[in-house]
Amino acid sequence: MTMSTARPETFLGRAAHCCGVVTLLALSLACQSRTRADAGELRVVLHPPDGAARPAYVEITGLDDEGLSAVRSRAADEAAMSSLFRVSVADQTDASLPDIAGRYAVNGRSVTFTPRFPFDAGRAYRVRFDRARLGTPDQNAIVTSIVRLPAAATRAEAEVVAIHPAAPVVPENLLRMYVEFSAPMGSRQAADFVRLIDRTTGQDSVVEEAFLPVEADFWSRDHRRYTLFLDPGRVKRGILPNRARGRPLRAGRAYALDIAAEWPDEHGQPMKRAFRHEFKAGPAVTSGIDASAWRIAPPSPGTRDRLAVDFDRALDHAVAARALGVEQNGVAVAGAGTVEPGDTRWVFVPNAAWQPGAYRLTAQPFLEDPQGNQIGRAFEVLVDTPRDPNPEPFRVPFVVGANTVQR
Amino acid sequence: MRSRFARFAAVLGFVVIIGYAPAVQPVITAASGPQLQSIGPLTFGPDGTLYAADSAAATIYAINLGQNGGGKPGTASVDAIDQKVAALLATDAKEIAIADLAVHPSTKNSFLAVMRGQGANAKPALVRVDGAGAVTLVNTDALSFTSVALPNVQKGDAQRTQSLTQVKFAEGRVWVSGLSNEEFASKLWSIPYPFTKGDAGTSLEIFHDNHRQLETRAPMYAFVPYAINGQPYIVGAYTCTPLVKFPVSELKPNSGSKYRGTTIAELGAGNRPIDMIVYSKDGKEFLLMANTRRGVMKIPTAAFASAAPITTPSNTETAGVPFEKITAMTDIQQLALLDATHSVVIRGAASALALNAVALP
Repeated sequence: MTMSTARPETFLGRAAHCCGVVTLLALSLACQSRTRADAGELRVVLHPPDGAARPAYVEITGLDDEGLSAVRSRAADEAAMSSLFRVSVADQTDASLPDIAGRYAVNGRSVTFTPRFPFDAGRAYRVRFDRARLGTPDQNAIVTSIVRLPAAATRAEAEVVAIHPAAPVVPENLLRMYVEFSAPMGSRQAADFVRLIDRTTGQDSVVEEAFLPVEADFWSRDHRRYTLFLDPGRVKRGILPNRARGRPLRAGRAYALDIAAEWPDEHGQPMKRAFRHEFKAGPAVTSGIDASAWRIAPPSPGTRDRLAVDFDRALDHAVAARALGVEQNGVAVAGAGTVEPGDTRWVFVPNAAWQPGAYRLTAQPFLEDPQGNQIGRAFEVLVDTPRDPNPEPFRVPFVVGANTVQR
Repeated sequence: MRSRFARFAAVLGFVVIIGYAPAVQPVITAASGPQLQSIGPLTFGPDGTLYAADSAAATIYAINLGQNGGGKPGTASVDAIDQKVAALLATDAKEIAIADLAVHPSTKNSFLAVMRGQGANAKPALVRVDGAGAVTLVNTDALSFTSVALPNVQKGDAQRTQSLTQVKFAEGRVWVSGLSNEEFASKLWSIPYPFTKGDAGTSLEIFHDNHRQLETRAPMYAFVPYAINGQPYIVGAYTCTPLVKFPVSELKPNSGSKYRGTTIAELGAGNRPIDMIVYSKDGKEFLLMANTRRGVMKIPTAAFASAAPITTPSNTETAGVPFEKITAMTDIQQLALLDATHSVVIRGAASALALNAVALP
């Protein structure tokens, strides 16, 4: 059933004093009548959204013929309509705040207001219809009503479900970590909710200014994953922040990534619980990825057995998932690839059975490890190291039909 | 108080490689108005064209505002700007984020890029503040526009996003910086305007070196075009170092060439420039830079041309370009040039923001 929670609001001050007829009705659709109301009896109804087809809107009914005619004559004048029929956020105390931007329409015997941006669930809105502006002396009443849509569920549902890299030891020159959530999160950035803790001594101490302080949006499209960038100015060797403060992570020390439960989800609710991910830092990994050292376990022909590729190191969990593929005769093989936990192995299951013959594993040139190292090129290289401006994917051949592990 | 940059005096070079042929067909002109998925960085061209960066779609829109370009001329200060914008958008100040601020070149009205709502459901809005302090929503439904998809943006899965951090117009081109939420991308895009099908622009891969020893890719996140000795430069900041300059004249699309620029100053860890503007006062030019943690800095640009490249680390604070800290300008969230004598800023803490016209220091 459609909910409309228009509620009477006490009339105040001059408006009440000067108004002749004031009618406030709280309506739901169950009692909404399409018959013509008595003159002067206005109804305010908030119609909830109809899925994606139509947003919620406010409807005024009960205008008599003269009133309707007067409204129609003003319908094209947005300024006139917005002084006649005002809708605003109700819980604001500042009278100087503007009314809600929206569109007006006269449909049959009703006048509607549809906000440019949909009404929030549970938020109270004030509707004010000023018949004095219609110029009819006996209908100079101001009608106000408070309306609201039903509140959304307010239960804490989200929690952190994974951190990448998940390994117990990560290189001290780590550039980024991914935090995965069980439910879509809001828009807030990590700064207020995530801390890097040094727990080497057994007592927690916060590693200050560990993360990149940029107000860029590092959420995934679905807001279920956030990318934490360690401050690259501290990670890169020789740059002032690095020389002044060192890397945020230092080999041999023990850390925790603390994520506060207050980080709000898309409904503004906190998470179910806080999350702590404990790990240690190991030696920096400062060499390029050596794809020639990857071990490929070819599947058997005629099967859809998985192809397994063991890397020379842990790769970036997200980048590896979209940078790797398989091709045969230059054509991509359809199938599903997965980066296994630990990010040191990629497995691929083809949609159709493997055919005997030559295949190639393809790795796109943007493939990185979490330290920013690429295939054949370290993140930090000697200055003026040549770089191909149009790099091709790296290809590692393997043969289906052979039973030996290939290199 | 006068201070100086770079206690350790690194003047760091960086290198740009021009990479990749344009791969994306640009340009749509439609009568139905721009269908932005998100709105972030804004800038105006000298003719009043509004360039709006849509990170979600990795697209730049060039919008003709028409009659929406101006209410009462100028920009009046507006207290509680976030609350007023939120009220206009039927919500609470906690539910909006003001992503950028730009000033129309002729009407001097201010335009705000606003995301309304949370998470994946947030929607873009364009809001205007005029000389009477009126805060109005710009209805983009019927505005004419052209757009271009940024070239060479990786087609990732649902997880990868391209966060565009700044857009500027100079030398007949739209310049765009951005960060990826996955690989350590270092793209700076340069797209000729008007957008054409024949040239979708170029993505430049930026490198940065420390004292001619090690170099890395280096994403740019804030910059301003600026002419030094009559030559166009980009003065910008990277995620790893605050302020660098490089000439744009040598950017030859698809040449694969490298060239080196110069770091002008370092601000140290934990601080990043937010916005930069260039202005003239008393016959001199200055760069005004708002920072996350180190306030607003006024930097005479005369030194930009004469600063000698430093190729070895220095431990003195006096090296680098001198600056003056503007103590009267605090808590700056957004900074734009209003006119010859004023900037316009958004200042304050979350849910208590003010839009102020502030005299240029």
